[in-house]
Amino acid sequence: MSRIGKQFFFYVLLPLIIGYFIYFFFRPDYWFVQLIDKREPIVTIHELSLIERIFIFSGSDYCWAFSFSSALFIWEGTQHQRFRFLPVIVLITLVGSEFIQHLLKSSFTWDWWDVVAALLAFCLSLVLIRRNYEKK
Amino acid sequence: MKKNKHSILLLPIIVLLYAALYIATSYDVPCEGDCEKVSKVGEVLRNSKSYVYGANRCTYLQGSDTLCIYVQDTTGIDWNHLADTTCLIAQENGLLQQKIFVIKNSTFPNDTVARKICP
Repeated sequence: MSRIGKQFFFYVLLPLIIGYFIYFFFRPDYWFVQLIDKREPIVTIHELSLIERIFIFSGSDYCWAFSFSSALFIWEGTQHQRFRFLPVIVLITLVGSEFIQHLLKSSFTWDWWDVVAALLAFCLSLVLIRRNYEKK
Repeated sequence: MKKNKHSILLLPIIVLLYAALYIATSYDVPCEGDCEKVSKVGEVLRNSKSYVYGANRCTYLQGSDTLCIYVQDTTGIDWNHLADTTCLIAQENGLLQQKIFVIKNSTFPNDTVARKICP
């Protein structure tokens, strides 16, 4: 497998698969899981510790943010030029996508841990992928 | 140059794909109809009884007539009375002939402490 292929699998595809499994196993009440499998949740919210809650409710956001950042940074790596402002745009998109939920509370779910998860995902993706390109 | 032109097209595709995933995973389906009624039952119970966590349909199958009332493991509570009260609240909210299950969910497997079929 080529370097790009490996990066695509580990940094883009795998996080999406993990994120989907978090929904599939722990949040089956979500409409897109219900399309495939109608069943009861394995856990109830009241039984969960803080760490478990963060994993279940922000883990999938982390995976999405990491995969999204990585996809864009890998795409940038395939170009002949660096886009200086790409990390800023990605960061604004990630944080903005969480804050817009705060403004549209009635239709979306909002959580501070989701913002933290998005920031961590962005930083990790930036270090793992973009910094690598800069070194080369 | 041709290759670069094609790969630039990937950018909007990536953005659109992730936007679709974002909407799919962030959008909370509005709680209307049956969901709203069940939610009201849970809210009334929670507000009046400190040991009640909430009420849910026991199964996500459409048209379910089951109501699971999740409670804290508390001693000295008449769980059958809670089931009766739930029946009344359910009826007030338009949920008739429901099957009530009062469940202690702090134990594994969960302990069903009362069952009742509402009139």
